[in-house]
Amino acid sequence: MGASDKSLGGVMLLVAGFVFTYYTTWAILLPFFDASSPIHNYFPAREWAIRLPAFVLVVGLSGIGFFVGSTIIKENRKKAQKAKLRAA
Amino acid sequence: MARLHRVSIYSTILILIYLLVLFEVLPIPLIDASVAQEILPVIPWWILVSFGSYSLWCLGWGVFTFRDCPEAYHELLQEINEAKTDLRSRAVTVD
Repeated sequence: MGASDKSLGGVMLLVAGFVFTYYTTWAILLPFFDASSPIHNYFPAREWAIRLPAFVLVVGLSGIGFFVGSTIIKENRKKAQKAKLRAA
Repeated sequence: MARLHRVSIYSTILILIYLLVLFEVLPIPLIDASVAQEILPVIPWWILVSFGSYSLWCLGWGVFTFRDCPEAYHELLQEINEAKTDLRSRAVTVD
């Protein structure tokens, strides 16, 4: 129990740290370097630095909205069924 | 409400400064203007990504430092045994 917890937590920590440093370098530090510098080879084109988080944001919000909407629909259906049972 | 007031005032000021710099009303002293104009549109997305990675860090840290509490586990097992023997002595069938 303890070891798998620690490894999962460690993986999450590493992923969070990597994502933060990579994105910060990509978005904020790269424009300071010359266009000919070799560091640009490690990063995709900069439009993607905006498209990726925008895409993740849209997907995340739609996922949340879909989940909330389906829960509301299920609850309404259950309520309608209960009302029907009571009336019948 | 004092904290909410403080947070909203700070964030309003920062957003105002950001918008002024973005529309080139205010200059940035130390950085090249072209470089600043490249970085500025990305800053809101950077804030979003930083917030996401900070949340992931907090979750990971919590999972990493989660204790199994072996002392509480043994104490609980002992209390369960005591309760069982006590109930058996009062003619209650346990297990």
